[in-house]
Amino acid sequence: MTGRLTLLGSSGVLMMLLLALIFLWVPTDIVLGISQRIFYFHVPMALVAFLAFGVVVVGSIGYLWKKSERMDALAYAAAEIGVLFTTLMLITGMLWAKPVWGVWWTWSPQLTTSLILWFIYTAYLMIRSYAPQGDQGARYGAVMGIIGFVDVPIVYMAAKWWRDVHPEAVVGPLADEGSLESKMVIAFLVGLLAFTTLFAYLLMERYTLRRQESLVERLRYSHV
Amino acid sequence: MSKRLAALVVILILLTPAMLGSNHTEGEDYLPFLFAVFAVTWVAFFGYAFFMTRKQADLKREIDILRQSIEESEET
Repeated sequence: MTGRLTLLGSSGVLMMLLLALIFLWVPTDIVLGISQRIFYFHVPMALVAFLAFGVVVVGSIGYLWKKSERMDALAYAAAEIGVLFTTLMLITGMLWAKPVWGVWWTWSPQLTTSLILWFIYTAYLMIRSYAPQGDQGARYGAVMGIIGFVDVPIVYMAAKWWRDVHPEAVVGPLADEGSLESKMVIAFLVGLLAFTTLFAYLLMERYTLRRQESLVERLRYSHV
Repeated sequence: MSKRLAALVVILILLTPAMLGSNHTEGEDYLPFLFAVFAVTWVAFFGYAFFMTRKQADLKREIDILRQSIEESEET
């Protein structure tokens, strides 16, 4: 419990620091102006969504390999939070696209593959809700969770492979050196840390809740 | 209750373009978009926290019902 509160507290402090950096410290981008500050929310949320889907893969493999309910609960919790982060990535992207590109949405490869990613893991959650009782749903979900992850590197590489309106990656292995000013890099890293700690906190909470749900479900069926 | 909250979030998201519906996209006209990003993000996270709290309460209620029903069946 103390660990969770520490995570929540750290996330809160880092969020406050991030807001202070965004509004008071980072320089304004010459080309994109104030709207570039959306970057410090949009990109960390995208990367945390990828991390969440990575956890889904780990949990799914663990479930298929050892039939461990804990791993299944981990995969489910991570998928739900991953969908939340992907939804926010898409919405914040639209709110950034409108002032910069003049449209809320365009079917550019990176946006389209991101939307597909959202559909894949939303479908994962729907399968888990509507699949038959027992381990069948968990098995279907695990397979889908693993296969769906193929889209994650495609989203990351999309701007490199198919050049379009979406800017190329400015962080990570594909980024050119010096594509961000040092102050921008620091603010970005604070944002990434803030959202990662928030993700870790939400994951622990949702994982516990999922385990309780499974327990209650088992009790209900054994009693009835 | 959670359905109402979900409906409210969907309505807010759908209304965002109308609320922001300005064709001026220079200088400080960017600010509403920046604030909308922060607002949407916090609404979503607090909404999710609320959803988890509701789920926790539902589980607790169900556990109480199950316990009661088990106790009754043991008595008979």
